Amino acid sequence: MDPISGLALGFSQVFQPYNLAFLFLGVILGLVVGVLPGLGGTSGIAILLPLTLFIHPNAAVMMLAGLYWGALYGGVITSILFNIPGEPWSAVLVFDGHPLAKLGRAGLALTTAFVSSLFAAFVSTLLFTFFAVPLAEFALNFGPPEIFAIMLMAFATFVGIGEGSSPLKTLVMIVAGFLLGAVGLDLVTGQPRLTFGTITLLTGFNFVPVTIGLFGIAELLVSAEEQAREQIEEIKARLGWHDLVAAVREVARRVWFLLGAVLMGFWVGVMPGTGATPASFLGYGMARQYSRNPERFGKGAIEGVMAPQAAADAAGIGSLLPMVTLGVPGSPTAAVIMAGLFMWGLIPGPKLFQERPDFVWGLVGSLYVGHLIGFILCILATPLLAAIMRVPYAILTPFIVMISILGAYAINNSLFDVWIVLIFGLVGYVLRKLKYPAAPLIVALVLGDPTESALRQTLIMGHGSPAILFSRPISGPLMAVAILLFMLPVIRSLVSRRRPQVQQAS
Amino acid sequence: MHWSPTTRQMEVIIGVAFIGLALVVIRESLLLGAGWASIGPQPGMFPFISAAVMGLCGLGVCVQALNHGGGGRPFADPSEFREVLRVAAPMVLAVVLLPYLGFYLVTALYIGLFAAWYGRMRWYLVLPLGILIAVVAFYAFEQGFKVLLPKSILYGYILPF
Repeated sequence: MDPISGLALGFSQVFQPYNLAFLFLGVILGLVVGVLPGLGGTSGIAILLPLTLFIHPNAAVMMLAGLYWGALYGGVITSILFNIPGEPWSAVLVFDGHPLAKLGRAGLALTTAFVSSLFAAFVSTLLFTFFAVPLAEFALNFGPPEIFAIMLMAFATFVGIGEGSSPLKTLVMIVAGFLLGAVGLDLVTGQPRLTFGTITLLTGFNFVPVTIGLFGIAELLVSAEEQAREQIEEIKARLGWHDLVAAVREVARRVWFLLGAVLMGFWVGVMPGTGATPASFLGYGMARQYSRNPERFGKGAIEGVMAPQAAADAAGIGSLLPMVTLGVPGSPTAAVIMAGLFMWGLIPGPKLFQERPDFVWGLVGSLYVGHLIGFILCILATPLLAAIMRVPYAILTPFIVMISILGAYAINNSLFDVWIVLIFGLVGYVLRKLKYPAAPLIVALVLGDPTESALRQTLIMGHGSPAILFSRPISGPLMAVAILLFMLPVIRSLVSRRRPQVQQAS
Repeated sequence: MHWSPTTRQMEVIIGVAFIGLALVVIRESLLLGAGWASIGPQPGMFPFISAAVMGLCGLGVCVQALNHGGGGRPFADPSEFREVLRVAAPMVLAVVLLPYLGFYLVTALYIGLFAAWYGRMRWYLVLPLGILIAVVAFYAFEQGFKVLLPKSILYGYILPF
C-alpha cells in the first residue's frame, strides 16, 4: 500500500468515534502522567497495558501512543513552571525553561516548547509515513541471521551509548531480561526450562508485571525519597494568543536550525535502544554549540527550550518506526508498547503492514491527530494541568499502587503476578539507586524469545557455526556495527587511560 | 536500623547476587544440555550464554566497586530511607492482605489509611475518598469490564465483594 492511500485508511481509522475517544483518553492520561514527577510515561503505559486487553487493538495502540505524546507535552509544564523534571526527557528544559519563567516569560517558554513539539511531530510523522513502507519491504527479505544481527545491534546500542550507566550494569540487565524471558517452556522442544520443578513458573514471567514493578513501583519509591526534601516552588502561567503568536515567530525565525534538531532526534529515535531522553540532551548540546551567544544558555535561552523538546518529540515518533517495521523497539517506551502488540496477538514486523494495514496506518494517522490534541489541550489547559501537581503524594501513591495491582492481576488472574510487581518494585528501587538501567531488562525480556529463536535458526542454517552471521551481505555489516558498539566502552576507557590528565581535568 | 550499608557494600552484595543467580542458571542449563543435538542448539544453550555473561559482569561490578575510591558513601540517607520504608511497608501489607480482604476492601482501606497516616490528612475526609474510589472501581471492573478481581474471605456470606 502506498503512503497516500495508507494515510487515507489511517485517518478513517482515527476518526472513528470509538478510536478517537481512546486516543483522546490516552493523550489526557499522558498529560497527567507527564506533569506528575513521580510517574513517567513509560510507567504510565506499562500500568495501563493490561487494561487494553478489554478494548480493540487499533484503539489500544492509539491510546498507548497517545499517552506517550501526552507525556512528552506534560513533562514540559513541570520542568518550566516547577523547576523539577516531570519526565526524564524534560529534564533539560529545567536549565533554560525555568530561568525564562522566572524572568516572567513562562507563557512564552511553554508555548515555544509546545509549538516546537508540534513542528517536530509533523516533520517526523511525515518521515515516518514515507519511510515505513520501504523499510518494511526491505525487512521482508530478512532471514534469521539478519533478525538476530539487528537484535544484537539494539542491545549493543544500550551498552555502547547507554545513558550514563556503567556498561557492565547495562549488560547484566540485558542478560537478566533474557533469563527471565527464558523461564517457562522451551520454544523448540517444549521442555520446561529454569522452572525449578514448580508449576507456577511453567508459563514464564510475563513482561507486564515486571515492567510495572521495575518502572512504576520503583519510581514511586524513588520519589518517596524526594518527599523528605524541601518543598517546591511554582510559577503561575496563563497562555494567551500573544504567547502563541510570539512562540510561532520564535520558531519561524529558527526553522532551519529546528529542522536539524528534528532530524537528529528522529535518527536517535530510530536507532534501536535509545529514545527521547538522550535525544533531548543531544538537542540541548546542539543548540548551545550552534548558538551565536552560548553564554546565554542556563540563563533563559529560548533555543534551550526549543531544540531539546523538538528532538525529544522527534525521537519518540522515530522510536516507533523500527518497532512497527522490524519488530525492534527504538526506545524503552516503544518496547512497552511493543509488549502490548504481543499481548493483543499481533506480531510486530514487516508482515504487519500486509496483514493489518488498518492497525499500522491507524497508528500513523493517530500520530498526527494525537499530537494536535495534545497541543490544543496544553494551550487551553496549562493552568489546570499545573494544578495536578497539587494532588497530594499520600493519595496518589496508594492509588497508583492499586491500579498497578489491578493491572498485574487482570492479565492471568493470578496473585503470583501481583507479587512479581511488588518484588520487582523493591529490587528495582535498589538497582535504580545503584544506577542499573531498567530499560534494557524490559527490552531484553520482550525481545528474548525472538532473539533466541533467531539465534537458534541461524545456528541451524550455519550447521552450528556462527560464521554465517558475518558472511551474509546484510547481517555482516550489522554484526560489525554491533560488535563495534559493544567494544565502545572498552575503547573509550583505553583512550582515557592514555590521557589521564585530560580525564582529571574534566 | 543500626547497620546502614555503604554504596560499595551494596554494589558488592548485588554483584554477588548476580553471580549466585548465574551459577544456579548455569547448573540448570547444563542439566538441560547446552550443546548441539540433532534438533540444533539444545534448550540450555541460550540461558547458558546469558548466565555466563551475567556471572562475568557481576564479577566485574564487584571488582569495580572494590577498586573505586568514592564508594564509601552511605547507600541511602537515613531520613530518605525512612521515607522509603514508610511508603514500602504499607504497599507490602496491602499485597499480603489482598487474598483475605479482597481488592475492593484493600483499595478503600489502603487509600484512606495511607493518606491519613502518611499524609497527615483528616481520616473522615480521606476514608470516604478511599471508599468512593473502591465503589467506582467495583462498578467499572466487576460490572462494566467484567474483570473478576480478588474477593474477600467474607465474599458470598455477608459481602458482595
